[in-house]
Amino acid sequence: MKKLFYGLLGALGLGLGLANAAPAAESPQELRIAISSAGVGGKPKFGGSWLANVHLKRWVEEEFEKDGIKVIWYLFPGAGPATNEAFSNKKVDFGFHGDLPLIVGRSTGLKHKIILSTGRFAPLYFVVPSGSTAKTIADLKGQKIGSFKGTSQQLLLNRLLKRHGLAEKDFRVINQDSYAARTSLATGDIGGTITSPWSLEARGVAKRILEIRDDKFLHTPGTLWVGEEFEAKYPHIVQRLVNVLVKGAHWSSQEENREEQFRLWTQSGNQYADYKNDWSTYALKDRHSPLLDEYYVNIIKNSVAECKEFKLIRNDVTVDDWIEPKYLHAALKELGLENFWTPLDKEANPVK
Amino acid sequence: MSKKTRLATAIFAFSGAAVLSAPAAFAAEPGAEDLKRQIETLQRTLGELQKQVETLQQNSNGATQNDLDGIRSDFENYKYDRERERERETAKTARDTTLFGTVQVRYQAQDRGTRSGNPAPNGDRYNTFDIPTALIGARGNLFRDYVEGKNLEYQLSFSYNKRADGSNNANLNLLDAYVRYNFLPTVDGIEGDRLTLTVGQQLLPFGIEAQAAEDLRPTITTATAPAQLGLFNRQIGAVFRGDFKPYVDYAANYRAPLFEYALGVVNGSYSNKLDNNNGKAVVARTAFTLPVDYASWLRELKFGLSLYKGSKNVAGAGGGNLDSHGRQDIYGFDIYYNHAPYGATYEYWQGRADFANVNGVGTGEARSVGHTLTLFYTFGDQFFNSIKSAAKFDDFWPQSIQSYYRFDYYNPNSKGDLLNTPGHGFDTVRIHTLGFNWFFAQTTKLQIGVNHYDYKHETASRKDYNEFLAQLQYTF
Repeated sequence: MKKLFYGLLGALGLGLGLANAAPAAESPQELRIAISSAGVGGKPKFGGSWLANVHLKRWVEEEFEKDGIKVIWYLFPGAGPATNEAFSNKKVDFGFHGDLPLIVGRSTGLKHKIILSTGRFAPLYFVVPSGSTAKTIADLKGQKIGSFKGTSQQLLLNRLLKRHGLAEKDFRVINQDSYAARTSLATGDIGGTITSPWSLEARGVAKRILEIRDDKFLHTPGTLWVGEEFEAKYPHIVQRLVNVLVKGAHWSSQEENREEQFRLWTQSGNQYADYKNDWSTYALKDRHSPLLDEYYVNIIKNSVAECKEFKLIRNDVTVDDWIEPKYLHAALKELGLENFWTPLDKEANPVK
Repeated sequence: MSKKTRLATAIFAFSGAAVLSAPAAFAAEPGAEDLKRQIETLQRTLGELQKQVETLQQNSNGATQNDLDGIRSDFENYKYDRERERERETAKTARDTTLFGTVQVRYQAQDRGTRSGNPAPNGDRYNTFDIPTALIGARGNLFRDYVEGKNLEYQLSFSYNKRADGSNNANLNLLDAYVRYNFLPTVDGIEGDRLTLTVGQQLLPFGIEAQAAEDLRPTITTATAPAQLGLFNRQIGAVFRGDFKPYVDYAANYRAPLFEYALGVVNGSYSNKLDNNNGKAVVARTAFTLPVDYASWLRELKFGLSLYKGSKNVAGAGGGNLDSHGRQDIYGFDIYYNHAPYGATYEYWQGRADFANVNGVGTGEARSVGHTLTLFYTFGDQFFNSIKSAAKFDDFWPQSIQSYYRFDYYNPNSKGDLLNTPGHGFDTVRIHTLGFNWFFAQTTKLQIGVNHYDYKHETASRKDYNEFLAQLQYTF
């Protein structure tokens, strides 16, 4: 039995040694993509961006299946913080993030490179229970506001409150994911939250007290990054993935595909009416831009400054050395799409 | 112009044309047969148009009355089915309740014969099957505070125990029986402080392993010192538990309470028993977790101090009570580190307890000492909140294999032969354990372990031995 004991000890040591001595390969066995979003009730589907179309149509799987590379999509109901947790533990190679968890992750030492934007602009609605007497956000002072802390929703709320001369401390901001906050609106357990109002209003449980559609600096663009380690090891795989994604952004930007993608996105469990109304005043091409233009860089820099101002990060974050546009540029050139999307300057004006 | 509008316009135009053409027809003085044919033609045309309108209505996206009636009927059927199912096939409780349970099925083999654990053996055994744990319970909410989350919760559980009379029967003993009130809001997310009061029979807030419920203990066999010192026994009393100043890293939803504390009073007479003297036992614990980000290599590094101060009845050789306020104190220190895939825990215990001297005259103090060091390395994803909570359609659950090594030491009386019998029948022991836990489903694990027992004083009935254990544990 002693022999068995020491034999097992040796085998464990050998196993650990072998696990750490795996040889490098030209291509990875897996592509692991983290999505900081999931469908209603934890469905592994999401909507609202061109990346969702790529996922739902399985275009990345089609690209890599001939090489035997398995594509794993992790859709996290825990949103951006869950993506950071997974990346901290080397469980994912690519991530789709909103600005706050992206910036907080980098401020705590996560090493990744921004390679694409996953879309920009969106309407903002502040929604309250249908029986609420509030007419403005200020009327809700001292009440409970639902916000998914650690996600871009928290920074968006702080930004909105600041524009109204308010701050988080004027309310009791409780941590809820977006689906829980919508339920709380229906039951009247919170005073209000930022969410899409259309299906809630159709049910008669909530109403808008604020709607902003034309402000290009409230919502920040979504971001796709690659882990530095993965990028250094497999740049050719990163390029192939970016090519597929840019193709997906191009398909999504065609107006003739508007209805089809809204219907695809309803697989997430969200309502068609929400998508249709949220996107009604925007050109698909404007919102589905994957560009890392001056507008993108500037708005991320603004978000970093706001994170410091609202005390959401403790360490400094640099932006210029964080963005790696070469994969995007190569993809646009290869696909002949260099002039398809219009780059914007810092002030969100088209660059001629 | 929509199809419907175009059709309506066509009908209107056709009808108008028919009316306008009527005077011209009279002008030519058509015969009755002509008029009859014209009317028949008009009727046929109107009939065809009517059919087209109906077809368009059926094919349009708008719901018809038939559609609504169908949905209404389906909905009524669904309501009826749900009512009946609930009435006839659903277990109901007065309050929100979750049933839970834990079962362990074990195989044990050792290289020395033993009769331990069986009160009526026919001979030595070298291996056996066993059910070391089978417990069932319920937990839930007695009052749910929707505004603040200051909820009143309960837990009630029972576990089977083998009877020591040699029969094939078992007892069902009460384990947990408590109510817990949350004094501070629990709806504020991970930034808020915590404070609860738990009243009833419960686990003691001492160290690391003694606080873990049966299903969460990492190794097949427990550490020796807390088992010998009675720390795994539930006790009846009231305990405050809380923490404050949590360090929150929203980058990964990581919460590290800077200080945790617990303070309580219990009978000191273990489970299912009234107090056996007039002295209560006080239990206290404090722990400090490093305030660092989730990405730091120092995350989940925690240092804890624990104290149990009780009084015991010291029985003399003749059965009389030599002292009803004998000392029964335990001091503990622990370190916890969990940075997946690596993990380590270390616990130190020192017990000071009065015993009757072997000569039957007076009492003496035994000072017991124990250390347990456990090192973990985990392969797999089950311990990552992100991966295990990833969106999924099926019963997907990430698998993990957690390998570990444990060194366990216990000296029941470091004062040597003060009481003339080292450790009152138990000897200083060193146990080396190598094992792994294979978490292959959400609540099920297979545990394999090899133990080597090394006693300081071997006797005829107590010799060093090796042991192999295989255990399947499931919870629900």
